[in-house]
Amino acid sequence: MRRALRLLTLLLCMALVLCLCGCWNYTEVDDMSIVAGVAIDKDAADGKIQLTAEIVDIKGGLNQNQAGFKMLSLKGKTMFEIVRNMISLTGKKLFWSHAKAIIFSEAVAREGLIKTMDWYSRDTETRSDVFIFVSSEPTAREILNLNTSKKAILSFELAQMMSDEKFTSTAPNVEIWDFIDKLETSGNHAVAPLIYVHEQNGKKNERVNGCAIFSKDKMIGKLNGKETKNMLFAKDGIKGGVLAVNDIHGVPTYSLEILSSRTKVKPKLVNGKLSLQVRTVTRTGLDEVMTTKDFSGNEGISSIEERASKALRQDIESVIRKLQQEYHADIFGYGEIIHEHQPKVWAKLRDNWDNEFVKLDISVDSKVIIENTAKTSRSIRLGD
Amino acid sequence: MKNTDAALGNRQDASKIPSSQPLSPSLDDNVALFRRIFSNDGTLRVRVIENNYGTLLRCGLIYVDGMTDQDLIQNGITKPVMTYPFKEEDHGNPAKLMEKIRMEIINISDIMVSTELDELVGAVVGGKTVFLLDGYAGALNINAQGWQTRAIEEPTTEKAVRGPREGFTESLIVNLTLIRRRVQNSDLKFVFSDIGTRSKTQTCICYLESLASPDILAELQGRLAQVEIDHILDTGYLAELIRDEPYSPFEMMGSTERPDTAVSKIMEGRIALMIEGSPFALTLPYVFVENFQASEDYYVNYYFASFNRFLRVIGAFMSISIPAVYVALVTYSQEMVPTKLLLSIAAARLSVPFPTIIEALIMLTIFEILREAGARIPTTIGQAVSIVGALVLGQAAVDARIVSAPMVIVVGLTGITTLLNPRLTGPMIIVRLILLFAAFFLGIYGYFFGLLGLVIHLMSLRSFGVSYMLGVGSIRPQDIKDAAIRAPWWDMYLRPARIGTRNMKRKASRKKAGSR
Amino acid sequence: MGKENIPAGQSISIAVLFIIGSSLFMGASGQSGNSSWIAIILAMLLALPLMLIYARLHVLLPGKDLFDMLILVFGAVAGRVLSCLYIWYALHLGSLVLRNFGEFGKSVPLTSTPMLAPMLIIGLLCVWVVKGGIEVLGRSSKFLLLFTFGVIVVVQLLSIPKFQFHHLLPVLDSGWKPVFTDMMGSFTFPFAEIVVFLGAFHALPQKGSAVRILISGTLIAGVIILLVTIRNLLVLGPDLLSSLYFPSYVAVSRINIGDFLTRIEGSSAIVFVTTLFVKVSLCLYAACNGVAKVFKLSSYRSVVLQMGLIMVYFADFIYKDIMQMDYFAHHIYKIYALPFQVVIPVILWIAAEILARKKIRKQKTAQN
Repeated sequence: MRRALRLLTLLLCMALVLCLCGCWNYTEVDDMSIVAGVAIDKDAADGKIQLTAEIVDIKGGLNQNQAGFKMLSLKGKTMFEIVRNMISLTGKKLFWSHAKAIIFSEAVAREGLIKTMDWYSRDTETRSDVFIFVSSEPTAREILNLNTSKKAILSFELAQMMSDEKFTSTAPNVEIWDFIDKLETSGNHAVAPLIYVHEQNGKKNERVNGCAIFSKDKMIGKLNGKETKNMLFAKDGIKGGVLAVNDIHGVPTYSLEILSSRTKVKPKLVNGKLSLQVRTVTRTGLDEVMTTKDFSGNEGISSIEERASKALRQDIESVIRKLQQEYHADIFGYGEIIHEHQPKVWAKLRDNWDNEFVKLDISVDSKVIIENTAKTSRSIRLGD
Repeated sequence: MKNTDAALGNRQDASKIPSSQPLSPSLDDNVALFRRIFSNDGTLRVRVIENNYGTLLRCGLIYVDGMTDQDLIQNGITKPVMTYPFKEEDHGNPAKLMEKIRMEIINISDIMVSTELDELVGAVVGGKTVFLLDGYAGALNINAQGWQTRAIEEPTTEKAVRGPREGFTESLIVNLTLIRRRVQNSDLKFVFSDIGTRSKTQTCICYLESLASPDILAELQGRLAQVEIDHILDTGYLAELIRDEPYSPFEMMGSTERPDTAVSKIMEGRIALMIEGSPFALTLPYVFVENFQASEDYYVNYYFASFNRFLRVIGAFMSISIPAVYVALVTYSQEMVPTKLLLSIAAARLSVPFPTIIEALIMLTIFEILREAGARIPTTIGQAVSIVGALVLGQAAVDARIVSAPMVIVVGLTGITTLLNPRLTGPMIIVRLILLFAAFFLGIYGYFFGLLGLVIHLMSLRSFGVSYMLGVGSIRPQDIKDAAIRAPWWDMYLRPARIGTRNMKRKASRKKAGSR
Repeated sequence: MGKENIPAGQSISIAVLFIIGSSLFMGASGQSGNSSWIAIILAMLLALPLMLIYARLHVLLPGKDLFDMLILVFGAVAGRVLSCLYIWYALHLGSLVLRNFGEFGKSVPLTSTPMLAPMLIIGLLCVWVVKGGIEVLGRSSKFLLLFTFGVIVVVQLLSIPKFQFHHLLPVLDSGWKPVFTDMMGSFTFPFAEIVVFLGAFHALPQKGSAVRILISGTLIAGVIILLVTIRNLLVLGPDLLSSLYFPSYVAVSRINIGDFLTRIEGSSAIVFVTTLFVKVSLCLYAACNGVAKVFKLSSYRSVVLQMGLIMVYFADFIYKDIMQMDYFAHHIYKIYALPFQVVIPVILWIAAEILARKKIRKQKTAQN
């Protein structure tokens, strides 16, 4: 009897505890607005931030497979203020964990991203694996607004696009996490992919190509798609993509598919002067031959390799020069590499790295290896 | 309450009065005495037989109809007694005459002389036949028992595709035969006792003397001696009366309907407990992993058996976790759900009127109702129940948007996985509900807390001095061999270390007879 | 209730889970950036002699726990005063750990839930297990260790694709000084905290096993902490690592295997819950045992619930906020804990050593 009474008391206590602490964080899925992506603009007139959120609109349910979307736009002084005020628009709390893309307008980027990004990386509702983009168009929201013509959730499409980006390598793949990581690490500057509207035959599509260059958190310039690829070569960021190679006469003839690429950067201290050696080794497959001239035999392949290596070396050098001279921004992370391998030298350089980077002697050495020729062993032979 | 008790007691006392009386030499008096004791009992049969060789000899047979073998009485008692050519000199001394009848005339093997009325009444109730002789103040207690029992059938609760098909029946003696036939060794002991102050149910403790731990045996006998109850109808009564941890939902004693399972437990040094009238044997001590062992595991290929056992463990875990995890994910940690899945759950939940937790509770209750309904009804109506369950409550409820489709899947999975472990069904329902509430109050962390509580509870259990979770969490190969997996027989050369057996060695070595 | 007894395997499990306890998700103190792993190895090595001293106490005074030892060696009054200090230490440590979890819950998964709720539930679970006895704790630990180990290994493997080995370079970036500071930090938190385990020494098996239990416990736990620290470093990099309150949680959140196996940080947090549970339980056990010894109670079980509730309540108001907690854990604690972890045990050891000598001499003279 006494034990039963005790048990009862315990149960009562448990029930009380549970009642006391019950369900503060309890939210039903259908009571929240799932944010797919956001665009952040700056109103030039009053200097306020304008936040446009693409929200998944669940309707129809089971029978309708495609989820719809809603657009919400609101202005405010701080990000968090806007985010909270949006509840008054939707009536539901915004749910950020599933957001896939965040697009900044160029104006916001040039002014500095920390202002708008800090909330996103600090808040516990958001996740740091969201992709960031910089809009090449005047505003960021017009990119998101493409969804009305495409009838699909644009942010999810962008996320899909970024995960397939490795096959083209014309834009860097940047999550908000990487961006902040670059900001925090000394000797490294961030980049972000550029996004713009690609119009053809009256149909508008979003296109990710090229990248924006940041110095600290401020955008200072752009690279186009080809330069971006070379930039990725220089920082060991290539996962795939295509190398076009000219024939002897300078006509683009061959396409090499990049199978793997490795870039090694070695800081060298010669007579107290620091120099960097960038070496890339790219393994490729010959995937396209736009000529009937025979290339088989070692002679042909090795000359293609040689030409490709040379072209690649020049391209990489030119993009490094461009960043050294035009932007003074070390987006390759060379500073970090020097830090890691020559900590003593770095101690002298770190405070003035941007200037030192401009003066840095960087030599590039590229090697392209053709490992296979896809399905056929020779070019198409014309039958007589 | 007390009054009725007293009244019952009084009536019993009243009927007991004659039993203190000695038997009288007069047959008629004795018959009258029995008739009085068994007043209002229509099954009592009294048969007076006579033998007319020489002097008239009058005898009486008293038995209960239905408990005796009529043929045996006829051919073994009445016919020989009635036709035996008694000589004159036999009649002088009734005691001698009785001895002669016992030794020479009645051809039934089990006969005892008795003068105690108490004992004779007990014998009659137990299906024996009492033989009275006119002029002698004593009786013969003849065992001509015989009653209808169920034939030995395949056990319905523990089916096996491969393995023996015999199952225990309600007859204790048949059950003991089934065990004895498998262990033909005088080491196997059967210790009888009566339990139930009124029902006097025969109980048998069954063990191998060289293996069973004497401590556990003494503990069991001590606990059985303490049992005070009117009657027991099934071993389930005993299991509850003598178990450890009376408040825990987990079974502290194994129960099986299969003689092969019972024997294998006895061979591991456990003790089996059986009663008259129940086809279920209790085995003890019991440990947690036994819940996942099926007898078939030991008869089929060990890879397959290990895989099945793994499925059962996973099934038990899923069965307690799925509703709780679903609720935690959908109402607290939505960020952990993959985006596409979250969208489809959200779409399915749209316009469902109930909160997820209520939805879960409703569906789980409905599932349990269907289960309970299905368990009791005749098989012919079973189909109707499944139609109602599947179509009306499942499909229609989803279409009508009373519940969401994912919840139906969740409950369905929960139900199916429960069926993997029939022995754990009861505790799993309770644990599942507790975890569900924990998840409802603190999300995934509440669920973790619940699991932690479950671990604490299980770890603190003991069955007859043996830790319930022994072997769980251990990484010694010997402990894993018959727990997480079913090791091949040639490798299980030691008995499970956990239950305090005396002799650990099961096999002489790990030799494989077939290998070279 | 007979004498409690926990086999060596279970004792090791308790020790391992106790040591990895909250440091698993709080992270080791991180002034030394990418050299923090060196600091942990050093701290582990530094802790080994201390473990030998603790184990020696068990050999000198077998079958006694810390409180028995103090009372036996320093006398009834001084011993009781010191025992009270240790009761305070165990109680305080328990509430610190609880608070760590409370802050974790508050800042990550259960933002709008009052901190008291999860702490109270953990506290009640601890009360439950301590009431069940140290044996139940031992058995639970053994199971939970296996489980914890499994989860850690799986998470470790899954995070390999996110490893950036260049974060390890340059070795000793900022020199030895921060490494030594960190070493002291890691020594007091978590390694030397095992002094609380002395409060349950009476339950250890036979003579001399304490060496094995403490040394292997320290080594296993050290390796686990090392692996986790290196993982955090490789995934997050030294710069970000220093800014995070709960680096392990963030590191796990970076895992993404083919866009499918991702967002698993919530489920990996179960490891935090289990380790922390064992740590708090042992603290609670030691505190209750101490109270029972000091006040000569017949069983410690009668004070478990009260002490547990005090611990939970204490955890609720011990810090103002998470910043204060972080400061205390990484700056003040290493000085505060030293007397309990090193000074008093060493004095106790020396005194016990002298006592034992005396006893032997006495026996010898008696024999002569």
